[in-house]
Amino acid sequence: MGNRRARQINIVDISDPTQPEWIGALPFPDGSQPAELRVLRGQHLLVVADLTSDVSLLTFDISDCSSPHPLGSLVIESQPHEFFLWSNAAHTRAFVATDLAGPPDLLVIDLDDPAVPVEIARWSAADDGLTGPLHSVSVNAVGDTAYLSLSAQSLVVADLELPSIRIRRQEDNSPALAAFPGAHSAVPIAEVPFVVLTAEFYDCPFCGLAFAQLFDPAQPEIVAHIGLQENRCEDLPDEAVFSAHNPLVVDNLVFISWYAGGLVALDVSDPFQPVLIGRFVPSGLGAAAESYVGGYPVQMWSYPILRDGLIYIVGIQSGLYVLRYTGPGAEAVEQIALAEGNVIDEP
Amino acid sequence: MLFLAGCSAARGSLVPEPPPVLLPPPAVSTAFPSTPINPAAVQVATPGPLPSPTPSLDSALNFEQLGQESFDAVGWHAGLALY
Repeated sequence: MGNRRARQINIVDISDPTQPEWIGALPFPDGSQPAELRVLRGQHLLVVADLTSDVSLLTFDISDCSSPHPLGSLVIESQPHEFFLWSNAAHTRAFVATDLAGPPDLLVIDLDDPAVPVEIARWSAADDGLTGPLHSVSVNAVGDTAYLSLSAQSLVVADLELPSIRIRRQEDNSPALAAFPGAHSAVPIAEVPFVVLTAEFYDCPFCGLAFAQLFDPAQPEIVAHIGLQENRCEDLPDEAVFSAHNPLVVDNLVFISWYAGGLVALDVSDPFQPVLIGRFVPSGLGAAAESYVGGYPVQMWSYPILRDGLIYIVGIQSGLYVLRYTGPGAEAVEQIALAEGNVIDEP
Repeated sequence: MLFLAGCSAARGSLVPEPPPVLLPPPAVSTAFPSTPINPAAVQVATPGPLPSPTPSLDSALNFEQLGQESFDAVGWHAGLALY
């Protein structure tokens, strides 16, 4: 588990999911903020984005979990904020969003040789007449489309033919936008032309979640915008943040970390009318006193990961939760070996 | 063994306890615009609030908690990876 305050990554043994056990921490150099982690299991490869260090992207061989072996590192021009790890039989690439550090707003790092990360492409919103920063990015399974969430503006879709990154445009050549200010994450719903969008604000009114349709590639459009009851901003406790944060799409279900809203499950069989089908709000026990968004004890944050039918998710203050989804579609969910919102690994 | 992956930048060894070294708080984005979102215009996802009064703690709809590990009272946990 990454960390944005202590300069370390924590390692937890989850061989018994009912009793996850902290087994150690890996220290980073002073000034590091090793927040973002992704793994490619087949390659035994761990990729870490350090949000503050001069060495901002690092790779490790984790064949032996208890003794990770540093492979390579890369100093990139803009500090990373989030990244999407994409791999197929031929190539492995990290798509790095730089958020406030850009431009450039997007960097594509080739990891075919993980010991020698190499930048192979970059993109800046300003070059296309858009306003950054780029908060997050996702890529489809084929690797020819990127979904870019510009936090000041909107969802933008880009066609990838690396090193070319071309945003989609309307007939008049203006950028094709789905306006959604505060956009944080943009993740496609599998096999259909919809994208789930979150937006991040730390004060009311919080934004909730939206769905954009891409039937017309030149004109993405927000078709549904939903929230929890708390997103009405009525009688909220102090410092509680009810922004949707990071989504995991599993067929017609979406699981979203929602800060104080906990973990939320939606049925998106009809993206025009998403239906809330599950929600988990922890007790707050075990939470640290505060984080960068305040002291409310529930701050679900990470991309949920579905593995062997169980959902793993992290709260900023209270660590790891292991959950079983029991709502509609649970039998299908339990059969899924692995699903992640920020990794494509198709060997 | 499954583990939530993490590795040292310069070292490859585990340490017995998390060092209580804290960084300054990360910069909170100030670039986010003033949200134009009108809360009243947001469709509230059905079936609406949880059975307990909202906002609620310690409540669940169609989720069962199997385990939790709260091991670090000083850090701000972030990204997650499984191996």
